[in-house]
Amino acid sequence: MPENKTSFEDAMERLEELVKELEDGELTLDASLERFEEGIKLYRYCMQKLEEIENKVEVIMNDQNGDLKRLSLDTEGN
Amino acid sequence: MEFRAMTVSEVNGYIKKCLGVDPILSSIAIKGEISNCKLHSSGHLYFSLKDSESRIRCVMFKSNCDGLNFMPVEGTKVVARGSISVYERDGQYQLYVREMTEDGLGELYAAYEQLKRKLEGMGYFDERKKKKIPFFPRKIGIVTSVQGAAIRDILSVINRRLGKAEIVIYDALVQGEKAPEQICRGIEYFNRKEPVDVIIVGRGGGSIEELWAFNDENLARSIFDSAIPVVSAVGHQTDYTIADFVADLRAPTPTAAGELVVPEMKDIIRYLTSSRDRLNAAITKQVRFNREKLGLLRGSYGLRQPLDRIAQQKQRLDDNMSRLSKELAQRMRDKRQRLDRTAAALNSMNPLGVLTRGYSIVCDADNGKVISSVEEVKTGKDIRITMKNGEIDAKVMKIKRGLVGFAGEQNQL
Repeated sequence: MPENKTSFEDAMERLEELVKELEDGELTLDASLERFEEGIKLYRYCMQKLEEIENKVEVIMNDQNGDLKRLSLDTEGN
Repeated sequence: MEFRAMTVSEVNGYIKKCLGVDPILSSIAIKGEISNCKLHSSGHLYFSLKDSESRIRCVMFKSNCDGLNFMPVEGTKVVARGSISVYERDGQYQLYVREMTEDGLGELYAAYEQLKRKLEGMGYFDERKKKKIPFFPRKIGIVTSVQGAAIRDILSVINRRLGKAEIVIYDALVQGEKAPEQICRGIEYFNRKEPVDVIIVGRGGGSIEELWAFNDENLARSIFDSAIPVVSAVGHQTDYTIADFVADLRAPTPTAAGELVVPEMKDIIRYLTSSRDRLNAAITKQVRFNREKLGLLRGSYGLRQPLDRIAQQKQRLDDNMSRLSKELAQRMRDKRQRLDRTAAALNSMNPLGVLTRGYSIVCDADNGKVISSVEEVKTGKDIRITMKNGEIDAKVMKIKRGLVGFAGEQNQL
């Protein structure tokens, strides 16, 4: 089961593994179904992760006192 | 005393010899500005070196020119190394240049080479120590100048490929004395305060001097120590900085950094979709295959045979059953017939049957025993006579012994 901690890369890698295993066709039907289910879950997980990306650009700036200042940048225009 | 007059050739030859044995002239470095630079079609380079007061002719043969890492043009300040000798035909002495570097860079280069060797020895460039750049970073840290060209290039390529992204830019000077320290702080900021998946460190192209901040030892250490993968994106294609060697990935330009760090969203989605389709296809195939196999098995002789045998047994059982019931019915019939016959026989012996034909039965009135002989009674004995439609109680009046003839009885006998 993909947990929250599973990285996108791990999920993709596992998905690839599952596809290969399934395509090799050397699994029992039960094992195939298990892999299939896991694969579809990973696929959904990855798609969901893509959906979750936030669109924002922020800038950290040093001011005169050496303190860090944070501001948002609008990227749509330029 | 006067020597004999010498020919011009002899004099030029002699001077050449004199210069040839001079330890200073045979291995000399001269700094100056290039002028009258001509690249001959033969590939040899002819020029003069000059300072404010003087000039010296120089030639650099093609084989040595190949080692040049800059294009000498009018006004370039250089340091040329070689030997001074005479071109006998013209009686001109000139510098035969073996190697030439841009002036001022010599020291920088030396320092650069020295630092590079040092860090290499410390394993800073070790490929095995390089961290993997995540295939799909969700949050990207960039250390560069907000005013620079690099940031615009990186943002635009990320925006184009990913469509949307979470980016934090740490504003830092990227040239000048303060630059290395600020860049280091940027890298540390992401490592300590704001975790990102990957850090891009870079600036746009520039002269060697402008890129020099990226040859700093402290910066190299910062990059090496970073727990987050660092991508260097310094300048343009050709120049390698120390930062490039230490970074986990070197991008030749800021734009390339964007392309290397961020995958094309379309590609990811296409890949994911195709993975899903392949999963579907594989499982469908497997199910179909198993179904077909099952179908074959069901029709197979192996599976049919036991069924056949069961059917046969069943039939035999049925056969037996019907035979058994037939047999049973027959027997019942036989018994029934026998019973009927017996019943008929029995019936024929029914005394009551005799009574109907006119006979009667005489019994002892006291004990009900049938009296069949005159010997069993005495005169005065009470007897009961049973007839077909009743009984008569009587008394023996007289006894006559001997056979008494009855017409009916005799006929019967």
